[in-house]
Amino acid sequence: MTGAPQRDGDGLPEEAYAAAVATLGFGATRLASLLGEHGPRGAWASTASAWRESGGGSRSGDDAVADVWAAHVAANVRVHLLGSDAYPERLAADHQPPAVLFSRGSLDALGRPSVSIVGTRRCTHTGRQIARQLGRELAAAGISVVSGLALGIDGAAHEGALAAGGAPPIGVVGSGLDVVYPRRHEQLWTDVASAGLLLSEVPLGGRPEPWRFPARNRIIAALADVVVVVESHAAGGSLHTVRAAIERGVTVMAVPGSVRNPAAAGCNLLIADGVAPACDTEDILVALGLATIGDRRGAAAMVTTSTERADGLADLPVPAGDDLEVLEAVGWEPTSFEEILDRTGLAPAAGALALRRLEDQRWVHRDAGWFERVRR
Amino acid sequence: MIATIPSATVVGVDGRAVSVEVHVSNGLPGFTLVGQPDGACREARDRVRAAMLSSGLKWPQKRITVNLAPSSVRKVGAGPDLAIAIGLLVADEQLPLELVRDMAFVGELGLDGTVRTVPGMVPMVDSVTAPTLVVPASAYGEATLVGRHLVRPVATLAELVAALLVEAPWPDAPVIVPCPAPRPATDLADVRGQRLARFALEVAAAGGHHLLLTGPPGAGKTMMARCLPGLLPQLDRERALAVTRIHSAAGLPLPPGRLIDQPPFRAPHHSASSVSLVGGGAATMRPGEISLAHHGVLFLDELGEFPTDVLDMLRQPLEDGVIRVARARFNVAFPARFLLVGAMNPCPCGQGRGPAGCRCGPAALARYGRRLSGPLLDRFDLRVPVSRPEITHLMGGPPGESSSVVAERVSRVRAMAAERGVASNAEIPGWCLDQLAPVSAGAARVLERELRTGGLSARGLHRVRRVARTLADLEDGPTVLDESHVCGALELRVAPPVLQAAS
Repeated sequence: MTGAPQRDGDGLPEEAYAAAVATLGFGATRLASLLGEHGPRGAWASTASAWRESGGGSRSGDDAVADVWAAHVAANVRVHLLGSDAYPERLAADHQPPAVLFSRGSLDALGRPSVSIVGTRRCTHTGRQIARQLGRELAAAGISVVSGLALGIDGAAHEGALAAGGAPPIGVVGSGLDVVYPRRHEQLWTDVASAGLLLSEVPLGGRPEPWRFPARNRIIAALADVVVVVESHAAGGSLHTVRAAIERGVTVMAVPGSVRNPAAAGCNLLIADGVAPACDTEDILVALGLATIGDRRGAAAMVTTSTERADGLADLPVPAGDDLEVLEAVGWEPTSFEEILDRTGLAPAAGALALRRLEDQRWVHRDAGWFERVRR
Repeated sequence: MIATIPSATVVGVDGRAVSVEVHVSNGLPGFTLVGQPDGACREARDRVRAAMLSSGLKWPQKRITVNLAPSSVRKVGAGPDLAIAIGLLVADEQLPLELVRDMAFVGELGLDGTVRTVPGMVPMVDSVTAPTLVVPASAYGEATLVGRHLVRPVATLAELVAALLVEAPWPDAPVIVPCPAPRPATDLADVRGQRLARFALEVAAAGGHHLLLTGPPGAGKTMMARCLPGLLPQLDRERALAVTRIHSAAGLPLPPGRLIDQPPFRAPHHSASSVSLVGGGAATMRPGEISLAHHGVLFLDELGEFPTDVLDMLRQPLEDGVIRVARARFNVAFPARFLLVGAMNPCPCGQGRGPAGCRCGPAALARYGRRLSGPLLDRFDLRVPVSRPEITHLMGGPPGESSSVVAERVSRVRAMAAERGVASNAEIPGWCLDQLAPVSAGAARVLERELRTGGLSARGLHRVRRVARTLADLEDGPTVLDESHVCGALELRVAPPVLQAAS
């Protein structure tokens, strides 16, 4: 394990004591001041009584620290103490750095330009597609994608980044690195940890408590050069990340959406407030200073993708007749079967047949009774 | 001396002929009632004695034994009172036997000699074989519905005895003014917009397919369900009699002078107990809501609020059209062939607008979805989202087709089903599907893929083919189902998102 702190002559390293103090469940401020004033060993000594009261039992303090340390070694989790050399520079420079940081994977991922892709868990299919495409294209351009590994937009961005096999992705989570949340993303956790880096300020075994996520979001903002919001509700949690980014002077961009899409309302409000729209990867590259406006290929790029050509979809016949009418009735935002029937005037059986054909040719995506057009 | 007088009792929703045998002999005065009477029936002794005395008749100071035959059937209620009184008079030789020959008696006696009606008059009358039947005057309308008997209404025991002894003419039958056929409360023309839901109602009525409506509060789910009885064909005499028998056995008021010939609509509240829904009871066997909805519509509003164990009890009757209720002393089959219509909100917050539109977290959605068991969901052939009507439709949009226009098409499809030998397409047996609902090669491919991707169970496959049959029939379409019918049937079966999340 590269960069893993070794036991020094005295037995356990400083980091072990820091991790042990972190497991006692102090708030971030208290933890920072304890470690700052007393140092890890001193902090542990002054809190050892708290440890016994909290059910630590009769074991001596150092044995407990050894147990905690063994758990970190077993889980392949490293501990970074604020102020030490192994602490990521970018976070050390932040005004609210985590006093103790836990990581899995390679810290090399932090050395690149990085973009945070954040958004709602309750996203549309289009939103997920856009997040996946941005993740893929950014990673391919050598930019680390930072995200929260949540359901919806976050997960899709990392899926895209992993698929590109380019720059290593960075996941910042709100639970202990051994507590996979959401459970559905277990594979994604493993993949991000092995291809890139997983970070958390929550000690091992820490539950994904709701209050941890806003705190997690500040780390996402602090690690990014640009924060891109892909779909957020008007009062969504992604706006925490945006606020944290603005505090830190990090550029914020938002992917504009339909005014009838509730999952795009937050993005559209941000744009109305002066945030730059991100219509495709080029826009983000321009914001990063890695491309110039002249390089822009235009917004059409967002829809027709290289995968489409690779899948041979481009060769399929263009819809005609009922199919064309139905395709035009299916909007770019979720549309119900009834709306499609209303717009086309077709009989339900004929409408259903046309939709099925469009779905087969991947013009239209179906999600739980809602239809979205996905290519043009 | 002994007298045998025909009467009747009711078991579940069926009438059973009962012979009341009365034996009067010398001995220690006393009264014994045997033959499995229930509580109300056992108390007949006191009622009959008081009624006879207050009607100016003599109570024999002798040993009286009354047997209600056959003794294997439990006699429920006070229906045999009148027959017991007449049997006593005959056995005590106060009334010559030949005057009551070929006469059956059903009715409860009051202490002052009035004759009262009992629940289940229609099934009881139906089981009586004697050509003349004496019934309480207040039950005359119900008793004449069966139409096979000379019905004699009497108001009091004294009046009856006088008529039997030819001392007075039989009392006049009360004049029953048949009420006009009740109109369904809501007409489909009142439903504005809602293209898909209207179509689903038409398909449900035409093919007898169970329907699940999901939509936000205020979308009009209840109103639409209430339209269904108006779309279903009127009940023919046989069915009307079956429905009337059930309602009579449940003691519900019947429309005066006519059978219930409109499909019934029952909407039990979600707090209904399982017994009130499927029928049963400790002392008497009453039909439940699902039997009262026989040949009609059972509407379960707020389906998610019904306890799951109550809902799962619907599964067997939904398959068999009959519910068998077994208790220690009873084993009764209630008919229950109904069209099930469920309504529920799309999610706990009730909004559910689009994939990103509602406020419910994944855990809350999963909890809500689990309230409806998969097997019950599978029995809904039509699952249709209902959205709030658009304002332009509400404020003076063109009215939709009226119920009578749609009912016309429905009855045409029902007639086609009748030619196939079933009451509705939903009842086509699985082994007949290949013959009655053959699919084209393209349609078979669509179905095969749906089975492969797990979107369809084996039972679901049969159900989709039946719905496709109805869709084709509605278009006056071909015998062979093509892709559009199958796709249409599949599209009408899309599970609401909340239930997809749960499965």
